[in-house]
Amino acid sequence: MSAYSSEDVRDVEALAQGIHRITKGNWTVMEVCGGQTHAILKNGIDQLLPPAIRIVHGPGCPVCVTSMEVLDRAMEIASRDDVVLCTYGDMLRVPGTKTDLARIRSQGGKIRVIHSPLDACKVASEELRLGTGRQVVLFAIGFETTAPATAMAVRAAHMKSLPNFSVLVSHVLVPPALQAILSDPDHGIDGILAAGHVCAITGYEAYEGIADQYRTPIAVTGFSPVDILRGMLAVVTELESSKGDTSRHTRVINAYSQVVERCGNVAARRALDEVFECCDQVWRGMGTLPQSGFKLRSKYQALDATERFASETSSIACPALPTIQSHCRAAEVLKGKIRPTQCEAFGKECTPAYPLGAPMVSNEGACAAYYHHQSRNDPDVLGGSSR
Amino acid sequence: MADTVAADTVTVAADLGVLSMCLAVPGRILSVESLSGLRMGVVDFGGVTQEVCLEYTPEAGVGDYVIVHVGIAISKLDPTRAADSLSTFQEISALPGRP
Repeated sequence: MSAYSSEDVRDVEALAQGIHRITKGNWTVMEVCGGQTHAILKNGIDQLLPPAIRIVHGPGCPVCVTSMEVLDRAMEIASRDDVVLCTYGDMLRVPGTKTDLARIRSQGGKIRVIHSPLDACKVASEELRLGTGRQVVLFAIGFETTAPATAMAVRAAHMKSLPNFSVLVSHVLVPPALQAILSDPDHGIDGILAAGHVCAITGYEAYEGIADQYRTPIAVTGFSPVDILRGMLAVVTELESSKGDTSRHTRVINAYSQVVERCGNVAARRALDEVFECCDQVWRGMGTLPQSGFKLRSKYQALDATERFASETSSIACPALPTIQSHCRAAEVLKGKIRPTQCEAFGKECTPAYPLGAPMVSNEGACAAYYHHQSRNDPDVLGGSSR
Repeated sequence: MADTVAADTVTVAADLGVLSMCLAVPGRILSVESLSGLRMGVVDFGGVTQEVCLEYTPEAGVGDYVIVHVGIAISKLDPTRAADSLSTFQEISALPGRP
């Protein structure tokens, strides 16, 4: 079933032709959004582009970059008899150092899959009403897109004075990660597609400084094939027209203006500022990046699950993960240094059923996207003609 | 046009699995109300309706399209701006091509 109209097809063709026509140099363009990774692979957008344009995938999947330390902390908390841990379905199979949340749940751990952080407030109210004595912990991960929803839940819990609600915060911010990638002299990236829904919240003023400092054009880009090609055309146009012109400012182009404004969402930014302050954050595969995460401000510190469950031991015994000798190159995939198919383990010992690295676990991870979609076009991806 | 966008993104959402937390989906606001002090609304995602928090989109009312992420509307969709930017890029792509 196709969800695309003939108008979409016409726009895709026009945009792809435009890109072919203007491309003269060789350009590597990085996207930093799991949704875009998936859309690019699913729709074969990489194959519509001239061979001179190479797409690489950055740290765009929040599940994939959540640190081992935070995962282990969540698992420790989820293993307690008196806790209900609320989190997104993507998190259940992400391996920590010893186990994963799905295994803890199979041993009786109370883990609720939520669709919105506000659901966690509802669960807390319900546990309170039933008098179960259970604590409800929201395991909050995600980029700037998701953080305002966490802020909303924190404010709602604070307003209602829910005594049994707390939050394990592990939000990450995109601009510091881009800076870290572009600071590496060997990054090899010519242009960037910025994630449209992150920018819907934050706006793109912070990206203007990055584009100029690293002389790397950035296009704020949406998620449909038309949106992605529009972002690509904008970046390639900027690259081609600024070639050899060192006096020119490198720009951010808003190629998703139906959703994104330069200042972002003012109400959401205000809520973020009220609830969180920036802190250093560990990214899986990238290490500690300064001022790249959020922590609760002191006003909301009583809701911090890390403090509420400090130095407590778990009460549910968890089966350990099998130890695997890993050839996993997830860290290089996350930095856009290699494509998933360049990893020796890809599609062999590492598959969505038996993932070695986080980008294969989450549906939005680059490795999972390549596994699911590229096999259609390139049977070699899955190790030969047997499939 | 916005309906096509909605249908498209819902398909992607289905591909990624309903449990995915990273995706934001456009939907049309059917009704607005205040619930426990929060501005909430019922939003239609191509036939599936869901309760959505509208606190961050105070400018969006009944009939408007919003982009919804984990139960919260994060932006009001303006389809006219999409049309504008497309024509701009068509102009851009009329730049001199390969020799």
